[in-house]
Amino acid sequence: MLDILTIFLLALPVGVLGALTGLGGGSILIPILVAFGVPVKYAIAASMVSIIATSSGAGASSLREGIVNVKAGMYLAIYTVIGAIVGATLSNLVDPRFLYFAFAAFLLTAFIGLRRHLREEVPSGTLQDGLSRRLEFEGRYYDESLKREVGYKLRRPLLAGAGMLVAGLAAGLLGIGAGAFKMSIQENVLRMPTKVSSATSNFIIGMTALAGASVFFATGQLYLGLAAPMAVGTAAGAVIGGRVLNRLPNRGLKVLFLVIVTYLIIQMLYKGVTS
Amino acid sequence: MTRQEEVPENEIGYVLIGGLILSVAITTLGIVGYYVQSGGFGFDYTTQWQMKGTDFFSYTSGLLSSLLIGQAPVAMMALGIVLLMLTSYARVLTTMILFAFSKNLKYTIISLLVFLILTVTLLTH
Repeated sequence: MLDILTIFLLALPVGVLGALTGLGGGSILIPILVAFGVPVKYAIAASMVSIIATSSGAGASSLREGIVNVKAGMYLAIYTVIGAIVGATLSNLVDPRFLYFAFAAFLLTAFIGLRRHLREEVPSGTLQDGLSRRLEFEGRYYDESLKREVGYKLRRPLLAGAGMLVAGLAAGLLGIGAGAFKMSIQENVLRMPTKVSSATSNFIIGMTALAGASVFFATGQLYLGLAAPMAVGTAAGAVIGGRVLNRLPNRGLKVLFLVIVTYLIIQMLYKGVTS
Repeated sequence: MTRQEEVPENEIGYVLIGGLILSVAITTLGIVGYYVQSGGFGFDYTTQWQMKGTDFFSYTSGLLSSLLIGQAPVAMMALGIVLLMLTSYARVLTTMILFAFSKNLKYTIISLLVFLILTVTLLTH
């Protein structure tokens, strides 16, 4: 059986990876813990807490560097938080096998969408709709890898909101940050630059995870022997990851994101077939 | 006007990093204290290790009382996790206040909505 020290050592690199890719880290950590014999429900609940740590650590670093789009983040959080509460509440009612396949299918959509934009460092020529302008959906940040300030405009907030509701639902149901879902919506629907998308995803994930964790807290699935070392390990890893995020090229981040999404698709299909 | 001038992002960052450092420090203290007390890092899935309550806020106040009495390492870990969750809660509150100070009514209301949803969830779960 795993002890507290081993869990900490597993959580540390997952925190770095989570911050770099915008993924909450839960998708990676849950299968590792389960492989070591941790009951899946407890792994999911503890993962929700570690996601808050990842989001706080990476979010703080990205906020200081001005990469997070706080307005878009708060607007999208309305949808993800509601989705997470509904998802976590429904988690006992839905057949897990269906969830695994749905998860894999959704990730495949994200994979295809992001591959299409792989060569694009920063989206350009985005035409805004009226609601986007009213929501002040725009921003700028200094991109250290491009050595220039990047301005951008976002679009289609209602469609993005609907997508975020689904992302929140998946987060609550599966006990993950659903960062892959969120980033694909932000980049493909809103047309957000990858770095802003990754940083904003981290900012939102903490709020989504809090909603999910409160439901798991109520059902008694949260165990300190798992949650405490996971929180400390992922927090330390996320701070490291958040500090190097803006120094990496967008294309490199997208390739890393695609590699992880590919792994998650295979993992989810495997779980669906074997469960 | 740049986005940084409209929303003082540093302030939200300070709340996040401050809350994170405090919660990680307390959790680590609990882990170290547990090692010193028990001589190992093992744990099990008994109620001693379980975080559960009628609602989050009453659990937190109960936890503070038990800390004052016993100061057990496991209770320290629980306090660290509670603080981590409260950090996420505080980020929404801070964002709302900052939008209010910058007189952005639209985003003050949007942040308030997120804050209310989370508050109701923490009160009812």
